[in-house]
Amino acid sequence: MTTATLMVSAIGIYVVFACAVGIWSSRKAKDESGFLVAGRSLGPILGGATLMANQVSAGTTVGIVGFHYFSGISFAWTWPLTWIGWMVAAFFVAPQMRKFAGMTLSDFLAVRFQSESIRVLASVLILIGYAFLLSAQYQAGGLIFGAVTGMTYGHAVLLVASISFVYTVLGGMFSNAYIGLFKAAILVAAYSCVIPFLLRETGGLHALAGSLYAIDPRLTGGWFSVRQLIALSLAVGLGTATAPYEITAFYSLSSQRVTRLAIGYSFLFQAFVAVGVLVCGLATRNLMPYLTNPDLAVPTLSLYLLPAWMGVLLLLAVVVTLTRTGGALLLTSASSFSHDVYLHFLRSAATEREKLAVHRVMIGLLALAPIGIAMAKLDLVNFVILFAVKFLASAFFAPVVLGLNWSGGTRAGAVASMILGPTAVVTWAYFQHPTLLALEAAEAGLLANTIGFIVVSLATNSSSHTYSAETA
Amino acid sequence: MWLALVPLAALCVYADSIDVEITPARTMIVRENFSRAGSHLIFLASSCARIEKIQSADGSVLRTSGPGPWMTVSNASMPLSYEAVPLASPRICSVPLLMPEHPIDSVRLTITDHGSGVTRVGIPHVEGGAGKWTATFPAVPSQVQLEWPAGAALPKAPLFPIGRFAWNFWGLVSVLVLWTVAYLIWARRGAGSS
Repeated sequence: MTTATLMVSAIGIYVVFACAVGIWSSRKAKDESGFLVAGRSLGPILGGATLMANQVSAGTTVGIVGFHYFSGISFAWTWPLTWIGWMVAAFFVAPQMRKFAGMTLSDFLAVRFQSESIRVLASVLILIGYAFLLSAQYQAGGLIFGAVTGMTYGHAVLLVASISFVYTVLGGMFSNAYIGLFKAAILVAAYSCVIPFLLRETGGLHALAGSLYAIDPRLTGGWFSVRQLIALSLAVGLGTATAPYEITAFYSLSSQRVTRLAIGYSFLFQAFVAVGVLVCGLATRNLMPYLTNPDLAVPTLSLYLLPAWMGVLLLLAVVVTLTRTGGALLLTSASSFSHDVYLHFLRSAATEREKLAVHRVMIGLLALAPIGIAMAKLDLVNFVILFAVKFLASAFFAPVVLGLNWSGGTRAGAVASMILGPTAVVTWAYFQHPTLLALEAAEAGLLANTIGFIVVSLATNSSSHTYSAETA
Repeated sequence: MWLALVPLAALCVYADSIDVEITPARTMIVRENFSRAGSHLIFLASSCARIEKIQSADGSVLRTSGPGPWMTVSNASMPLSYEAVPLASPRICSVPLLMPEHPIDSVRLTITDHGSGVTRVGIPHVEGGAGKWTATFPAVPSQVQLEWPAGAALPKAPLFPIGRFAWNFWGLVSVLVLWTVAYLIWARRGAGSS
């Protein structure tokens, strides 16, 4: 049986499994809290898998392998640098958010800054950012499915959207948590098989390193400077600490203590992924050094270098990765409209049953909307993802981190930071001048967001409101 | 970058080819034909097979050069043939393939065993069996790994410079492991009170 035939069968089994998880989870998601935040019941391991599954997307399992293929080992240092953002979350965000116990990020911002306008502004920013992130997952999935099975791009995009939609619309956060755990398991299983196989086939770590050094010494260290690595990690790390879907995951955990434990388990899963994508990228460079495009590394490795069953396992891990990320994005972006705008302003007296219906309809509509963007193929997938991550990090970093930990933050400061940060990122991107003022777009956005929050808050401090969890 | 990920099946045009024939003595006779090869080819030195008798289209015998592990062959013209002679008749041997120093459209690899008893082609992934395997790839694989039912252990590979790789790899793994363990210990003990 060929890899492509095996892959089609594996995808079929995964679709049935995802539907079964959705149906099973739907029995638990009987009210809005159950649907959006899993009834705040997730334990540390399920929670850790959920946090990791939100962060590790197709950009990681395919895009970063391509990065290692062309630039070698140094990019792997972005993992511990990104973890600094997770430490910010562990100390200054996650337990505090769990104590607040909202449903969405907008919930927190509206209460903290006593402003319904901020709720709407946050929801709009989340919708914009996540529409692009979701379209990128569809686009990546469409290209992978097409490459492996020969399916047309349009059909493949529809298939990815359908898988993400089906289990999310049925089970909400419960399904996302269980599929997240499955994603963690399949990633660990795939890399546990692939890493030793590739090291054996390339003659061991020393032989692999020797061949890379002979191609270009920078492949064994130093391709990216420390300054570049810090800049690359900053947006992702700090963005992760305040990412709306991670905030929703923090709400879903069973206690404040569990938020910190779950972050620890997510480190465990991430460490596996970090070494896995590194070895895949480096070994593919050794085994097929002249690919036309580094992003071909994973499909090439799966289809042409690994034994069929191992190639299918790796590809399936990629497919689960991008459909699971799609599900998390769908749930977060849909709730930012259905919970924060429609149900809050237009149907505040809705019953739990009506609320669930509204969330499910919104998930359906938002699953469809990014298909148009994906079909248009606005840009390269990794660039779309990076832009959206920078956009969201630059919108929410200061209002969340400083809003939680500094009583001097004001409504005006929050609004200013949520406008200035994304504007800076869009400006940097529009003028395509990433080194303007010696700053990368993410740095410019985060600086504008943070400075805007502090300066405007200090200037309008008379209206400041000290936050406490009891405010909720 | 992703947009270039066109269906790989569309790349299979069979313009370029590599034929590997294995003699009963486990010597590999390789014939290569690349439409856009250039005059320089490279290959990854193997610890189990020595490349010999590299012959260009004009009949000239070419020499290899370089400190390893990547070796260079200059003044090549297509088609090209060479022999990979196994050292000490190993059970598993990675046979190096000569490749152009740039991407190609696709290459068809054919491996034929003329009685040496090859049981498996480990890498790359090829279809077939009973002495003949074929596959088409979007790039030239650097090696073909063959397995026989019996043979000597693989000769020890020479050590080449690896720059800062060991420091980077083991440093990274150590940081990830220590960070995770230390954090989990802290989270289980200290964070319980919050």
